[in-house]
Amino acid sequence: MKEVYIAKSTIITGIGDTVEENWGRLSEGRSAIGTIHHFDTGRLHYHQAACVADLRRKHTENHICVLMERVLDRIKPVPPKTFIIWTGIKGNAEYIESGQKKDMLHLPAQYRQWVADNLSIANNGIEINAACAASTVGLALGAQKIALGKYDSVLVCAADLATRFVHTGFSALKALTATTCRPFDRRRDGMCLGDGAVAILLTGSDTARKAGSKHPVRISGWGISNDATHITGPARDGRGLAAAIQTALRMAGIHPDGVEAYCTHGTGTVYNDSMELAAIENVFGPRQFPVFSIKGAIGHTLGAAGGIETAICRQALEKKSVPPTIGMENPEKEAMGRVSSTAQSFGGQNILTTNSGFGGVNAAILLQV
Amino acid sequence: MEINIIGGGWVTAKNHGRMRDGARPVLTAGAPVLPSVEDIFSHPPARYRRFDAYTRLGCAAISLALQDAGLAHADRERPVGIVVSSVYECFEVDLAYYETAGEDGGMFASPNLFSYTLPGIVTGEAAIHFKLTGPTFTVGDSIPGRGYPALATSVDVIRTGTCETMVSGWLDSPGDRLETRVRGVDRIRGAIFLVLSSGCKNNVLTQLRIKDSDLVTASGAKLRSALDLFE
Repeated sequence: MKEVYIAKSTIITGIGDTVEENWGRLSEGRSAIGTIHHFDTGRLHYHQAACVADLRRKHTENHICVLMERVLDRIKPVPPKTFIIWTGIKGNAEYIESGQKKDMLHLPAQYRQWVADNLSIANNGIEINAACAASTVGLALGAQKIALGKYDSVLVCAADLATRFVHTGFSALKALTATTCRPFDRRRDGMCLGDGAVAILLTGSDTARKAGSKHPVRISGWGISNDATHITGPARDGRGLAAAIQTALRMAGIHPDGVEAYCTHGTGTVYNDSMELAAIENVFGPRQFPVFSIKGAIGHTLGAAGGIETAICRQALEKKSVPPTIGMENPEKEAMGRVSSTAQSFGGQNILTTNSGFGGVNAAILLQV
Repeated sequence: MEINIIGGGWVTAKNHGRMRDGARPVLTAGAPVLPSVEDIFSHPPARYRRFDAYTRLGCAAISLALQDAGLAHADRERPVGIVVSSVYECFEVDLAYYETAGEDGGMFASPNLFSYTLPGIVTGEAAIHFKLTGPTFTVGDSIPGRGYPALATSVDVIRTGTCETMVSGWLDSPGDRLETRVRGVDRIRGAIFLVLSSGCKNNVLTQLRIKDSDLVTASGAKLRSALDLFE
């Protein structure tokens, strides 16, 4: 199979408009989590999210397109024959909230068309939904297209928002925190939603070489699995996630001991984080190495999460450092010596990133310099 | 490279069946005619009666396809994946969920309905019931495509060697809410699934071949939708 590279990546989250801005603020320990103002949470128990502060919300506007436009402006130009993979998962939320009266995009295929129009390229591609692992699965399938020689460039993009639709749903499931998001902390009690958008351009080696990237990062392996256990809760023993990681390791030809750092899904819910710690013990044994989550800073950005975390991992490889896990103060036993509230250095050769989602899906990607 | 089709099953408004029985899916508008629970499951999924219509329809057709492939029963987990392609996904249940969140500041929003507001939940329910632990996700579809994006993506997954058996096909279940509130909704409802395998050489019903980066059927025709495999 052909090699796959990340040629360009751009993100927007509540803490910044670029990868560099996000990296800087993560390193400073800053978080965007604050009180929600764009809808009334007064009768709910949960009132916080990590919103993009300058997103001036109007009931008539599609804010996914507002965020995507800002992201796409920074990834242009892309090769004209680029295959587009749209991985936003709740693009109809604002349409439904508006009573379906407005001329808003609401189907995934409409977002892909909108991306193609915005980039002035042919609308060739697919839309992927894999719940909160959607952009990770999108990156795996995009890498698959290039590895099989079907395309030389693939754009994986997503945007999702902390909408009333999603907030009331996770509130009903009691998955949100009424305090603050604390991934891998003993006192963690739930997640926070966040606004986020991402665009990542994958290319074959020739295009990557021509682009002259100073730090070419390769997607060396990927894996996707299902827990086959529960639709909204993970397999407690982490076996589904472990299987996805092991598939990615086999493809990359890397022994578990070769993984230098790990960006987790790390939502801050009791069950997710416990499951991930179990999967770490399963795959990596007692070995201690840098493990982190960025959701205490940017919230859970749903379909965009995996792409945003991949962009941060690319930066981590360049900096040979992983950012602090913001919100964590008193780590779980299995997180001790791995997850830290301060930045941690590593060799900068390879890094693992994973996401898991409703429906039991797990996805893992290995990045290598 | 050749990919074996070892099973197929469908449920539409006109009929339901299994590929091995020789019939083929007929698409018409209207509510799908679901087989009886006894016909499709030796024991139904625990939450089957609580599934939304999209999930119930998808699980029924996936069950028929797995029966046809002789893979419906298993004592242990199996690395089989599921890819579903859909135009409207779970939009109908999205609308139903938000009706429950609209009043009283959202404090009585339905957690059960919210659980089904992702199109991949059907793959999760099927994975649990049939003990399938391979890759699961959904792909956008187009009206003429009806399963093609899922089949093409599944073939790619098999080609990379990460999973050798995939359940793959089309599922759409737009209901009354969607048809009355959203303009231009296609009224065809149904589900068609095939079981694709590179490893299983027994009980092969037909084959898909890769020719000049296109997928072609056993008769050499370019694959355009899941229906083409029932020729």
